[in-house]
Amino acid sequence: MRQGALLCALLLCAAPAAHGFALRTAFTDPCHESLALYAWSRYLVDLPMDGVPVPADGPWREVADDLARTYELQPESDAERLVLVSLLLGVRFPDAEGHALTDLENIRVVHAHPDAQAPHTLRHPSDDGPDGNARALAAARAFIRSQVEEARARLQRPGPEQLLTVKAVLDHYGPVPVSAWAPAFHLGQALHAVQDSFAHSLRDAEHQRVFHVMNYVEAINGSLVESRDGLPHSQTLDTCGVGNAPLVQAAADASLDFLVAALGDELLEGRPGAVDVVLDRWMTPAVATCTRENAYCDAPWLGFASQDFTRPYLSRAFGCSAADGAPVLACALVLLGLLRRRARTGAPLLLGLLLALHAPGAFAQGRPATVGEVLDVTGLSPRRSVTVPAPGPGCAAVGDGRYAVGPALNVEATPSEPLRARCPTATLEVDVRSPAAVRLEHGAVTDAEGTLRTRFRLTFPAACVTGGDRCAGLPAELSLGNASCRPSRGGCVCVQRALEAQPRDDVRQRVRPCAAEGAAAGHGQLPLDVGEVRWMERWTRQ
Amino acid sequence: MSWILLAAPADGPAAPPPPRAFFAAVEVHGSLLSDVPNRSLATATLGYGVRGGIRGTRWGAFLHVEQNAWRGVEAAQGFDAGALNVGLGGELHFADGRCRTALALGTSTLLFRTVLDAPGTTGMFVDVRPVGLRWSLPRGFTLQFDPLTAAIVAPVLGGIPLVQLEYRTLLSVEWASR
Repeated sequence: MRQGALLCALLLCAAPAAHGFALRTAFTDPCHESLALYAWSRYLVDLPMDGVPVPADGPWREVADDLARTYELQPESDAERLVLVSLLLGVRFPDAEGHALTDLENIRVVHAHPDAQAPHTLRHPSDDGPDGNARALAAARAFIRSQVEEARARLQRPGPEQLLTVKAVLDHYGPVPVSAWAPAFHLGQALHAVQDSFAHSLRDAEHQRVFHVMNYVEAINGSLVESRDGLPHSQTLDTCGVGNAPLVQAAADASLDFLVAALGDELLEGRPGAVDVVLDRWMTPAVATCTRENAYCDAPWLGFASQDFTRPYLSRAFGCSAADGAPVLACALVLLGLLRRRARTGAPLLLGLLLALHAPGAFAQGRPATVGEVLDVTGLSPRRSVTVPAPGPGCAAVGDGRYAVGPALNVEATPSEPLRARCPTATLEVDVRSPAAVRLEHGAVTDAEGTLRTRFRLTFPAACVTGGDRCAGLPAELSLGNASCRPSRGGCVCVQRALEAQPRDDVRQRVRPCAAEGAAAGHGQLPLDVGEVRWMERWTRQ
Repeated sequence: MSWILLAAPADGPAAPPPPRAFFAAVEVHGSLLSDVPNRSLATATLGYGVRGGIRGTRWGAFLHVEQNAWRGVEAAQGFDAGALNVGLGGELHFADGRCRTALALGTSTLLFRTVLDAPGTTGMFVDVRPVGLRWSLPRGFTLQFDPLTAAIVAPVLGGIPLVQLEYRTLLSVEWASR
């Protein structure tokens, strides 16, 4: 425990974990990676990858397999593995640049350099005043465009020249040179800036117009004056937890939009300007002047962001600074105490980004469900708490049970200590009834803390109206029920937005052929027939 | 380091070891930091080991076996099994038996599958203990504390090497024959 706390202390002292959406470490959630995989599973994975040059040897394949295991993916070919590892290395690169995240000597340079803020959609120290918002966004967009152009240039080269070598940091090994497919690597970096624009700005209620861009460099060096330099970077906005789930969902949507536009439309189909359309949609400053006086145009996320603004790290960690003349040892003791506490409470949410994205109200919100209730899982059903009823004689005291409905139905229940003592082998049974729409992913499993979990994968049959072989003639975006379809390479991509999805075969549907009279008129239907989900549970003493 | 020496037990020195005494010790160790260039500065490890051998009045020789578990910070979610380290070494007692310096060399064998390497891969192990403080206990037992030691645990030397430089703190209990 002490080692873990000290490790956590070191990590939390390091700037990287708090600079943009978090990267995956032993102590932080894989926000950037999960957002990239959101786009991967809904779009990239379906692209033909025959032309991707695959290196004959090197550790890239092992690294890719490790990532696939970590994120529960199943690449079907080496080309798919290479694109996957390249995309993930790319989306991590602006935060690490090939260094270990606790290699403070190098990481501090990566993060604190004034000229390195654009990849994180943060203000340069010279981006002062309300105009600084537009300048910071313009710099970020220029960075994104530069990465798209790098990807385009690499894509036009012969196969082997499309590869590059980047450093992947592996536990216990340190930086290891790994081959990557340059187009995916550069698009991953661009994706990082798109995603960070949600973590480092205040936006309107629709999460599209940017009211205000934040400042990191001057926040950590203690020279920030809000009226001039803007709001300091916010630690809370960097998370991808339940508190900012709608914002993270918007970042996921923007990630998907960007990759479809950059790779599909611009690079593969040669339609210039598609990226700019996406950036206009997601990274355009608001017309109004948003300042502290008008609460940054009443930005809905201001309160959330204000919960934990970034300050100089010594001041933040110790509550004192060198200028105060406070004894370093005393400060260190305070730090250790604080970090020990944070190490316990700040553990990663192992349920991952999916749960975070899909839980605007968390489990506790919404009305309690009753046992046996038929759940309507069409649309974004809030998670609801449910009390598991008393099971049988001798096992009456039960803990809370809860479920989450999304593309998967997650059910878990934690019996109370007395129940565990009496019924150590109790099982949770869930009966889900739906015609061909639900399949059991795994049965009840018990973790070390006695929580029982089971999981069902929900699949949503989706179909566009038949007719036509492409989306040609359709508007750029077409609303089909709860889904959004857009033309893309080889067909039409429809993304069901109202329901969050696990990778691959859930809500995302690549529809081919698409279009048709209904779709062309903009009133097509995307049937979502999930039948009914019936949940029951039973505690048994075995 | 001077404060360590000052803290050495003045009123309870270890008895001078008799000629050719056999000894056996169990120990636990932990480390937190490393300074391998371009690597994470946080390399938490912990482990346990046994050590046994024979010693004269000042010099001794021993066999050392330990398991060294590792905690990664880039991606790992817990301690990995780490490495099994086996070494032969020598030690020197001084300051009336209150202090001990030791060096061990041997092999290090990977115990778990890493991203790049399979368990069973074997490399080298070096353990340097500059100053260990010793306190006599009843019935031939001795408590020993090594505030700072250095170990190189390198179970993979080929391809992309896997090398850990660990700055350890150790606590051990030793029994010696009379």
